[in-house]
Amino acid sequence: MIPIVVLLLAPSLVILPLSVSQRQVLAWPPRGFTLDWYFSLFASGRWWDSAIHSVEVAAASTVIAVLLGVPAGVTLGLRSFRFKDVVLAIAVVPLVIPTVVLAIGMYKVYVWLGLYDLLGLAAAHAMIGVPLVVVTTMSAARQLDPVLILASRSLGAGPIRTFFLVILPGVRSGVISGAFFAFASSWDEVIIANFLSSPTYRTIPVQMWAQINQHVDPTVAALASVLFILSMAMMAGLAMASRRAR
Amino acid sequence: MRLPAAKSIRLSGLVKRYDRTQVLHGVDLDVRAGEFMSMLGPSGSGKTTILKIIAGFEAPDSGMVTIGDRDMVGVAPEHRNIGVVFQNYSLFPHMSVAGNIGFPLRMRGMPKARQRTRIEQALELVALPGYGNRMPNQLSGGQQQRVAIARAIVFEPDILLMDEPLGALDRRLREDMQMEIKALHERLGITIVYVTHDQEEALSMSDRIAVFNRGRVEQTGTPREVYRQPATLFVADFLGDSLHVSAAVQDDRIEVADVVAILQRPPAGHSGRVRLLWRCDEIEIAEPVARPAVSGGRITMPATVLSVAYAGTALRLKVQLASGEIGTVAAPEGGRAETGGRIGLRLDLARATILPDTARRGGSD
Repeated sequence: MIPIVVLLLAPSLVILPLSVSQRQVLAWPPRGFTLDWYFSLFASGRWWDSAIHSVEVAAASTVIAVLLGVPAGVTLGLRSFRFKDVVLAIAVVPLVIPTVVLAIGMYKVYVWLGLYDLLGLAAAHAMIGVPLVVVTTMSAARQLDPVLILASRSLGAGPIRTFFLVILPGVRSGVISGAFFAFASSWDEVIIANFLSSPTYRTIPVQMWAQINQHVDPTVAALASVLFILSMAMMAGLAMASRRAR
Repeated sequence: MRLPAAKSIRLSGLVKRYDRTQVLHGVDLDVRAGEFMSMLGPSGSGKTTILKIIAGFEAPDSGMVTIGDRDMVGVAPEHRNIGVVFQNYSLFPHMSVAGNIGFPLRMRGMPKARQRTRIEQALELVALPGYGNRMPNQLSGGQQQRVAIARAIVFEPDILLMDEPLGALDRRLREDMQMEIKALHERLGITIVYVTHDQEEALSMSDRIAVFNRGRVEQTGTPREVYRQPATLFVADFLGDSLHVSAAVQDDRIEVADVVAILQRPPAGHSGRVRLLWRCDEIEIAEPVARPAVSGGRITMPATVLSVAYAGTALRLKVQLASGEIGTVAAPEGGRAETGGRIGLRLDLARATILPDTARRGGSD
């Protein structure tokens, strides 16, 4: 168990010492100690812009994914109907198709439609986020006692109020974790983002990618370290939220 | 809290099919206003389907449901004003006790202050005053079911449906809750339809019982009627222990086990092959006899004891007649019955229930 954890985590942890190394290039072993790369990171308008773009795209795509994925997940989890398996399979297709295939297809269609930058990226990332929300919501809905719905109806709540007052609170933990996964998958998505973003609208991963290809400046390591710590914090936040939901 | 006028329920010609299995074969049933009516039957007999149809959770393929003088066909459950108590309580887990009980009031747009008074009244009615802030998972099963009952009556429903509400409770608690539900019924005067497969529960609580078997009502009557005068062998067997024997009737002559007796009152509507039925406590145990004999309107028959079970106040003997027919007889505690022993059974013809000799139709599980 522990060797596996080390093997999985060690490569990401390598960036932490590199980000405070005094060497001018990204190279091992690190030498000395400096926070210069962090200063240059936070002083750089380019990085701030791409951080804002990333948040915009991730937030917008998460909202779309939740709006589309929750009703679908609830229906799939609570009801049985013909071709249910087919519907579920179609809903999760974007998770199985190689992202680069999706990206090329979208590149052609979205650019023709004029969908790129924020709008295009939000739509494209929502496509990856929807199946995540569908799956987590569906498994939460399966745990829900269907008699609660009958109880709600008999007490005077119509289908809509029953959805918002009984079903939605019942699947809350599934919706929260689905939204989190959708946000995270958009946040670090680089392939589609590379195709659908113009040089003026780069998300963080795209900017990092470009940076690494041009100069091997340890600023990237500083950024990577910040992102690493942020993700850990989000993960912990989610764990706490889901515990409270239970 | 006293509810407005209780409503009656009339079911006529209810038919329901799921895929290829027909679960209701034309059910007619009248429940009077204010009555406690139990629907009793084995699982799969259609009683829960009837309940779902009354509540509006299922639509019948054909037939009518009338509550008071209102035709319920096509009315959504949320517009029926019916209280439903489910077997597994079905409290909303994310709402407090007060939130649960207040839910139907909220749905009816009642002002907050009046809601609070009504919630507290309802909690007092089910003997849980001051429990409003608890969450359902902090309550025992019995307490949860009381909250569920409070939630189902707080909005003054026209009728109250209960679907095996005590099935998940242990025996002792179940008996206490039976008394409480009965007391609540008397206090509120509400019409209750109570689904159960427990015949003792049905006998002790109901004004009338409808016995279901395979999607039909076999008999409707008071607990005494369905127990002492069962209309069919199914009802007789489902509602308790008895012994029944094959017999042939012609006018006032009856032939049982090769002996002929004359009946005091010729049975109306019966001739040819019938079954004579005695409840287990209507049979007297006598000295062993060699062959059946009649005297004074009573037949004494030889029997073999197959097994003896101790049932608290009496013994239950499983007996077999010379004809091979098997039945159950109650014997006083301390009697000298033993397994394999030979005894005589004294059967009073005047107390026999005469039933058509149908092939035995059991409920399917």
